[in-house]
Amino acid sequence: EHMSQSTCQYEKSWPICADDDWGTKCPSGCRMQGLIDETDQDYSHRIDTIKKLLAENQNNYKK
Amino acid sequence: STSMAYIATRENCCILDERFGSYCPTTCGIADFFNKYHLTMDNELQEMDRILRQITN
Repeated sequence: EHMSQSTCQYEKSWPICADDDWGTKCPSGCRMQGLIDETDQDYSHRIDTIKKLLAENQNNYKK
Repeated sequence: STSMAYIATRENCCILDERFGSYCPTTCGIADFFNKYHLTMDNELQEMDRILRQITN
């Protein structure tokens, strides 16, 4: 069930993390999956661009 | 690199307690790995892109 807006805000009023918290308190798995997928998409796109450039240049040199 | 799963044993995991099920990396570990991977890949892709554009010109 969806939490009401006020409950959601109340439950997010945690103190700001200290450096020592890293390792004992970690990001949400959902958030990590999102970041990983986003980066994967970005890299796939960039790899495709590189592949395209490579193929185009290969053809130019063959002529 | 190896694709073998890392299984927790008495020898390699001093907090092992079978009652808690199987052990996985924390998302902090995932984030640390992701950061390293991200930095390396980003640099390599940038470099390849730069070189290729240099060749094109």
